[in-house]
Amino acid sequence: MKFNVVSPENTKELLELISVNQDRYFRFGAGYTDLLIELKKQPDEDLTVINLAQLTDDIFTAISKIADGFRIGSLVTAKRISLSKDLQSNYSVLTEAAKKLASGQVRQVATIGGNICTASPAGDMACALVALQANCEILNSNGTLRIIPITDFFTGVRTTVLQKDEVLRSIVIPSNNRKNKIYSNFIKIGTRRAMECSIVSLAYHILTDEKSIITHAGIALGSVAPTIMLAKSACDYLLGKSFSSLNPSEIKEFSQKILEYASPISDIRASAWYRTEVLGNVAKSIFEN
Amino acid sequence: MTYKILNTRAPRVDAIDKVTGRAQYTDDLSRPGQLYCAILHSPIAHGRILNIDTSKAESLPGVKAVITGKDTGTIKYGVSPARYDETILCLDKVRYIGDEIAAVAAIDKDTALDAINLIDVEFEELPYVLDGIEAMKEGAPQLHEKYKRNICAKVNWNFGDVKSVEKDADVVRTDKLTSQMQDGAFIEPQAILAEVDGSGRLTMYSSTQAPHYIQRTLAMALEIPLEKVRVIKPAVGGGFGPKASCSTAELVTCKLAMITGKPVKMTFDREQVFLHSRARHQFFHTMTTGVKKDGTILFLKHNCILDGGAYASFGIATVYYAGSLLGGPYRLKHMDYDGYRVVTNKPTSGAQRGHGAVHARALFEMQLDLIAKELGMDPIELRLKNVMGAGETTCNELYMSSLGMRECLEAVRDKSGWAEIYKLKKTKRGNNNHKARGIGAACGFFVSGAGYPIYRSQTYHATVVTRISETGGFAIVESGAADIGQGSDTVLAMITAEVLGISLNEVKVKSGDSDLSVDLGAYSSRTTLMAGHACKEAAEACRDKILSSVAKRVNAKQTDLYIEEGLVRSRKGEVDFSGIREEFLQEHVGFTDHPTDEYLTFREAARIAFMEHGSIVGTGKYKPPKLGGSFKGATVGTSPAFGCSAQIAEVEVDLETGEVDVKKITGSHDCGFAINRTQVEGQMQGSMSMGLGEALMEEIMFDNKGSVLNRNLAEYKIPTSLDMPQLDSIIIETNEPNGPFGAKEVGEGAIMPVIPAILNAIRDATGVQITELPAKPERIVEGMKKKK
Repeated sequence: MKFNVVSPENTKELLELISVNQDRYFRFGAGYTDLLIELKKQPDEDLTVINLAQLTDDIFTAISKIADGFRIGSLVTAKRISLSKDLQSNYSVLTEAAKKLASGQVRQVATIGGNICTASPAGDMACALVALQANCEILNSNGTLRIIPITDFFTGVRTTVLQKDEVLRSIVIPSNNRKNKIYSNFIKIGTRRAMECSIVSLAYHILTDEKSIITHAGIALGSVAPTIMLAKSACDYLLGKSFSSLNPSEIKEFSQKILEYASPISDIRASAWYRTEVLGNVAKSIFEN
Repeated sequence: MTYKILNTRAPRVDAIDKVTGRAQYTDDLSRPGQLYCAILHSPIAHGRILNIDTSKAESLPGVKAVITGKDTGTIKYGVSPARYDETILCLDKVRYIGDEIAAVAAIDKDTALDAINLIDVEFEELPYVLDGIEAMKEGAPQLHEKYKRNICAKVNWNFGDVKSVEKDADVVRTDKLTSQMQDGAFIEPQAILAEVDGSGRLTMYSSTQAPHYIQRTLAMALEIPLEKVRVIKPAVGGGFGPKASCSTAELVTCKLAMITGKPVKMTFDREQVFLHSRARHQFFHTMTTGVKKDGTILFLKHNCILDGGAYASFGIATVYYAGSLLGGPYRLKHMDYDGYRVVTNKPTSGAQRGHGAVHARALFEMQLDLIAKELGMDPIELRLKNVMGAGETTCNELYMSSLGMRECLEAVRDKSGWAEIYKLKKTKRGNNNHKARGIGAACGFFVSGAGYPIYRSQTYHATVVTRISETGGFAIVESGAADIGQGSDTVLAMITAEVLGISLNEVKVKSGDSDLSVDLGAYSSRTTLMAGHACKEAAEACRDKILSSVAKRVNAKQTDLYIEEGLVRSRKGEVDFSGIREEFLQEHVGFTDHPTDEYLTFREAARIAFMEHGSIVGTGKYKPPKLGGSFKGATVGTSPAFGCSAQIAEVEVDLETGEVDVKKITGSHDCGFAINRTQVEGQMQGSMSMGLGEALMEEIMFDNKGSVLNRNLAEYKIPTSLDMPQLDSIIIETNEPNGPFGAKEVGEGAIMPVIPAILNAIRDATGVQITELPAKPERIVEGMKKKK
């Protein structure tokens, strides 16, 4: 496995390198937990890797509280996310997803930006961010910023809206307005407890008012469609209902709405049948605790 | 008898080197000017080779040799002489995706791989068969001419008289269990370094389990005298069976070293580990068991088909083991067995921990639970009613010189709190709509070393040469035994230290080298018993020589003297050793480590013996007595001793997802006598981990062309540390009369009960009886759905 590596140390150098490499084949490398496996399978000696790991700008590397939520730099590792007390108390769907990602060794280096840009339908943190309806902050080589909702970011299996002269700089998670209680968690179904690519995942982030009425719901589904799906109609269905007193027929209806977003395939990890079956079951379980 | 070294928790002799990274594995070795070997694997499952064009590969700069079947010849090899069906490289046909067609030696790995891609092979594709049952049908594609209907081994056994007792059974059940082909999933992929010295002698370093067998196969297949081949096993990162047979990779690496005159090295990619395989077969078991109302087991009718992939390898032994090891540990007077070992166009299966017997055991133990349920008996009571004990012989003539089966069962029953948990109403186990708890028990039984070598021979199974350094400072044990991570070097060191009465760090073990001694290798859980015997005898010979010299010098009787904690003592009052001390001090003027003890030290005693004899050398040897019956295949399953074990698994099943959380396994194993208690527990716990993986997640998957889909450890799932439950390991010691110091196996037997204990617990929790392994979440959800 041979390739060229260039390592910018700040945003300016990064944008220059993106600019000068426009005519060449290049890839971004951050934690390398996906990229190296991919390159091992398909080596390409003409490849240039723009190594983001040496970037020091806070905007790429920090978790910061901002006026309307939290901003997470795309180079923040899964390990740091899992340890963040701020994120844990506000968005435990994300910290739980980070904790369930791969293994301790992988979490130490895998970045949130990489998890998003790999655009796997099984991405753990990416699924949580869809449930949180986060926004992606994308820089192009001219330094222009564009912001797009993560729900629009994925265009297919391993494809995104990113252009060749763009890089994902950071992610913004909106704040939990007018909440009383937060029901926020990440359910990952697999055959083992670590080093597992989810068979099905379900991320939910539900806010209620003091009367337990649901004021906000974000539910995302992983590994059941070509991209991570926001189950919009299921989320809308919950609004105005009481979290703690949904009746069995409402729960069933909710679960059916979830399943409308699932078009799973059969692969070596599980059959489409099982994915559908278990998705319906775990969707119901949100309200059964 | 109390021991100073044995039965303790002494740290392993290789522990420091391994945890500091100092231990040298084969891939760590390199030689100046070495070449790299790469292999061309077949891209199709079955086909005739019409032409191989190596010219482009040969002209690639950096390529030193390219070989095909034409160069490696027509000599057939394999594991069992009657089933030799492999040539070093494919001659006329390829038989699975991965079959080895050609090999290259080049100046580096990239060049070797590039050259492989330049070899053009013209095939005539043939119809292929991927299913073991289909392969046996008339008209199925035939892999080898000599295996009609693709059956490479057939066993038909009738012990006792099943027919005569069938009508006496009150409960008769027929059940099935199917497994999948598995992988050994050892951490170290196979690696080889071969070199030829100035005298033309070949030395191969290999991550093998069996230097002795490999040495023989290399000599035979490469057509060189046995004396011209040396096999050395550096540190090995696990084997579990698949590394017990000689591989094409070993043969071609040696061949290329012989052709080029340069050292040649090769390390498998993980993909190649899957393609070479030689791991656990796929089994299709059907069993009919009859039991009387009082729980007495009457008979077993057992049919088993083993899908073994393209070649026979260990398969002939596997098919025998699958039947023979159900002879115990229960009194079973009538047993029929029909076994078929079938070839298909898939990678070849071979031996893996619990050789052949694991899934047979799993189904039989599941049946016992189902029968207990029908009879309204506690499943442990049913087992206790039938267990054998020391002095009994199975219907297939296996003799139990010791057998703590009852002790094992009672130990896990009492330690786990079985009685309370099993009787608890399901609601009180903490069950709810999502989760259900269950508990299951099972037993197991395994050989402590195969009774006969793989090839027909009267050879000793193990020999050991032990030498005392001329300064008397330490003992050197030389043995061909293969420590592949299981800890046999530590066992040999402990036995030697105990016999000589010295400390463990005064013993150095050199092992895993075919030049050192004969040892058949690390398989069939044989090393502690067999190499242990030889090692004990060698150490005793050294000790006796030393004490004899000392006795002569001090006018004592040799039998009155003994060595303990590094000091020579007398059982008959004080002995004046001062003359020996004086002599020793005179020889070591200026040294700072003079002995100051009031007793004579081992060093001084050994020095005195050296002064009398020169080098103090002791040799030891072991081979089992003639074992087993006279029926066809009676040798497989024989052993000088049998280990046994019992386990109780507690699980929690997620009823919505089918995920199984194994909460706890309480296990016991009768190892006769624990040479090293920590290592015995380590083997038990390793078995539990491996069995848990086999029960819940491990399976090799193929596409419809016969290509392995999950040829990596990301998608071939084995348990991680987070999947491991609480493990309680109880050591049972029954003082095996045929074992050194009473010791017998633990390496494989402990895996026997794991799968059925877990599956029985899953059934207890959910009512779902698993008929196809692994019990993946999907299969459990499916089972629950069917039940509704």
